[in-house]
Amino acid sequence: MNIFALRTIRSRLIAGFSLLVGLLVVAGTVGRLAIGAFAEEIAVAVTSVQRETALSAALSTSIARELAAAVRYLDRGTAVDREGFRTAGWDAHSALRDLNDSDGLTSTELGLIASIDERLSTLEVGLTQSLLLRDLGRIDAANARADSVRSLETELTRDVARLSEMRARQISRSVTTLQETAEQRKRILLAVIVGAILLGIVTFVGTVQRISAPLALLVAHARALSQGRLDIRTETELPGEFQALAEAMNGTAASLARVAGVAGTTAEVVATSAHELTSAAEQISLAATQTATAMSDVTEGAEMQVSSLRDADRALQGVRERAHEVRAGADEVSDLAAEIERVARAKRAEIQRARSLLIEIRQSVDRAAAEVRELTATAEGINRFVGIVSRIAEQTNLLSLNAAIEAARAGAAGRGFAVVADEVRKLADQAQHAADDVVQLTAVVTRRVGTTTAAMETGASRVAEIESVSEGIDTALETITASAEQTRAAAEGLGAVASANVAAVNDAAAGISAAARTAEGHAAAAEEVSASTEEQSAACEEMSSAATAMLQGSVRLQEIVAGLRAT
Amino acid sequence: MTRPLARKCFAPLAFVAAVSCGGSGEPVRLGMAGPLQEGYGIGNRRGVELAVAELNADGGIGGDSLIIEYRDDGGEGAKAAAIAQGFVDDPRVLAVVGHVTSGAMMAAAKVYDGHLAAVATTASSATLTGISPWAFRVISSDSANGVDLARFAQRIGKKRAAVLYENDAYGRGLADAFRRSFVGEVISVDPIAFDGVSAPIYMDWLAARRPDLIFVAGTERTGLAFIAAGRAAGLTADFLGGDGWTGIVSDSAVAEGALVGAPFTPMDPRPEAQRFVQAYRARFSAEPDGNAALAYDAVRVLAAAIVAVGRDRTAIRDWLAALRTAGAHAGVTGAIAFDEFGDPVGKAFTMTRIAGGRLVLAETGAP
Repeated sequence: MNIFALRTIRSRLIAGFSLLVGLLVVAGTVGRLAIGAFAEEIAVAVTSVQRETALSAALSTSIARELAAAVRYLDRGTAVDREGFRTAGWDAHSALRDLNDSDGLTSTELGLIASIDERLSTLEVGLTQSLLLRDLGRIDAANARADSVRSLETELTRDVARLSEMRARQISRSVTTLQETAEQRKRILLAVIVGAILLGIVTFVGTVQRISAPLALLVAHARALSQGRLDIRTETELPGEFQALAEAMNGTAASLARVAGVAGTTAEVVATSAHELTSAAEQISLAATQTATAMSDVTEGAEMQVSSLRDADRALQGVRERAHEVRAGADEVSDLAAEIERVARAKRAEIQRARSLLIEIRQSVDRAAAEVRELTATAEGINRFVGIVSRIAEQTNLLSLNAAIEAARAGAAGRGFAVVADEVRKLADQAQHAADDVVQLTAVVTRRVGTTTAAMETGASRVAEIESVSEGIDTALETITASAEQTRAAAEGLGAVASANVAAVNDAAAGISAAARTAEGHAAAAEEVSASTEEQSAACEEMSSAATAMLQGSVRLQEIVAGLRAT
Repeated sequence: MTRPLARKCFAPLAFVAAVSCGGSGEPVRLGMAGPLQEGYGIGNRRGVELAVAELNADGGIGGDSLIIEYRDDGGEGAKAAAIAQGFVDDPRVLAVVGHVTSGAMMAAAKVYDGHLAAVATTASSATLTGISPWAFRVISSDSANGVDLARFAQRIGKKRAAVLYENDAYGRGLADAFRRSFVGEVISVDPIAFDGVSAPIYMDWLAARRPDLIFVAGTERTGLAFIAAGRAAGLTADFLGGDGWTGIVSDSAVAEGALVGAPFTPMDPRPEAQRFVQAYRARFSAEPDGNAALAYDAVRVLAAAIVAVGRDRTAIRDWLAALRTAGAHAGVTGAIAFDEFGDPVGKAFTMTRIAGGRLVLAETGAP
């Protein structure tokens, strides 16, 4: 636990009283020390005053003694007085030196001490000389010398008085300082004591306040708890221990509230369950009665069932026969489909062959067509050749004509030649005719070639058409084959189903026989059930009365819980 | 190491030198107070001037020149106290050389206490011993000096001594120490004035009482007057004086034969002493005495303190207070170290006789 956090009353009390004790100890120590120091200062001051007073007194006395001794010596001339003069002088200087050694002298005071010393020295020297002169018998001179330094006595006395005054002022100043110090320390001490008292009051009042208010709150809370008011909470920020207590009380209230809540809910559930149980028991009782009644019907029904099952068995026998027929039909269909498939396959092979033939034909036709087209080109070459022959024949004709003319000119000499020329002209004409025939023939050939070409192209396209038709047939046959296959498969499936059907029917028949036997057993059992149902009905009534008791108990519990929650 | 640095420091431009040597440009300031019109005051001042001149010629203190604030206290306590207050109040003053006389130092030391270190030169009064942790001196205490002088008197066979003293702290202290230590008859112990005018009265009085030694605890001013008066009165006794008498050598006719216990003599054979004597002669064309030598040493030891710890009044005092025999400062008057009361350690008077205008050793084999 951190005392310095001052969360708890304990820590506050410890801290408060520790501080208080500390302050009082401080006050005591300060007071003690102050008094001690003050006493010491006073002692120092008093000692200093005493010492200075003593020194001043010693100084004054020794100066007075010195002067008195000098005067006596001048009168009587005794050695005692001379020695007295000397020793008093030393004492005076010694006192001055001690004064010079005093603490806290100002430079003015030091100067004054030095001045007194110097005046005293001068006075001593003068008096010494006066004494010596007296010893030498020069009395007048001695008195004159003594008188000459007498004035110094007054100044000396005045200086000593001044020094005393200065020291007195100094002492009075230090006394004032002491008084001020004492006053100041008194104030400090007073402040510390007042502070301690205030702190004590603050601690006391604060502690009482911090205890009484939370205590009242907690008492109220406890009272509320005792009255069953579980919803009350102490939420105020409270000092440490009270906070813990308040939290514990809050926790207790919360726990009790939770218990009450759970008990209430449980009571409701129990009540509901009891209600349901009662009604269920009644229903069961009713149902049991009905069951008993129904069971009689069941017995009767079971017997009827047995006879019905026998009828069903017979009907199933028919079904079995029909199933056999279906099986046979299916087998036939399967066989037919297989035949169709086989035929279709054979046709397809033939068609394939026909198609390859057709393709060969088309190719031959194409080749022939190409040759015919070449023939056309040859015919054109004949035409050109014939043209040339024609032109030669014309030239030859013209030449023979010219020769005939020349022969005519030659007359008789030229007659033979005229005959030759005529023959040549006839030959030229024949050549011309032959050429013309060739031209006509080639034209016919060309025409025929054209017709043939067209016919061939038509043939080729027909062959192509036949090809596509045969392709369509092939496709159709393929489809047929596939269909036949499917049909066969279906027929075989049907056969299997039919077989299964037969088996199932057989099983059903066996089942029905068994059911019939069972139904007989049921009829017997139903009678037993009927009896036990009556017993069950009685048990249900007992349960119903128990549930009623539970319901009453749960209602009481609800009332109690409701009382706990009451606000 | 120091040579290149020195060369750098002596660069033509002064401010460059100051910067390169790490000086702040602000001079180092010391106070000096004493009866500067008196012969021994002048001796003190000359010793101070020589030390300052030498230090500044060597590059000053940490690159800054050393200057001295001179004040004349006339040997009076009242004046000295006021001057001391002035030094304390001037923050530029780092320490004080002086005061010269015991009476002045008595008053001033109380003012310096807690504020400013003061190294007295010739203030030898026994009452100054331990007067303040801030007060030091380079001269041995009169209580020691008086004993030295009394033993010397005994060694040279003196039986009847008359004691005269200047009626101040110095005179009283030295006379008292002598009186207590002298083995023989002290026929009188009388105070004298500072002017010496009335010397014949004392000498006439003494003439009838036949002392064989007249010890005068005072300064050269009264010393010469009393020696002269003694001779005039027909006294044959030897005259003996302390460190305050080292200046009587200036009147060799009167002073011939007088015995002087001196804190320093130019005959000191140590090299540092002889170097100082040569430098002093070169500068002032005069023989240095204890006043000059002690003042010279006071300045030197303060300069060493400032070099060591800087411009810090308290640190300077602490450095001086820690100056023990081991690691002592080598001064011309001997090794300088202080005891816990601020008095020098191991200092002794050299006994001399004035012969032919010079201080010569009074004893063979003397320290």
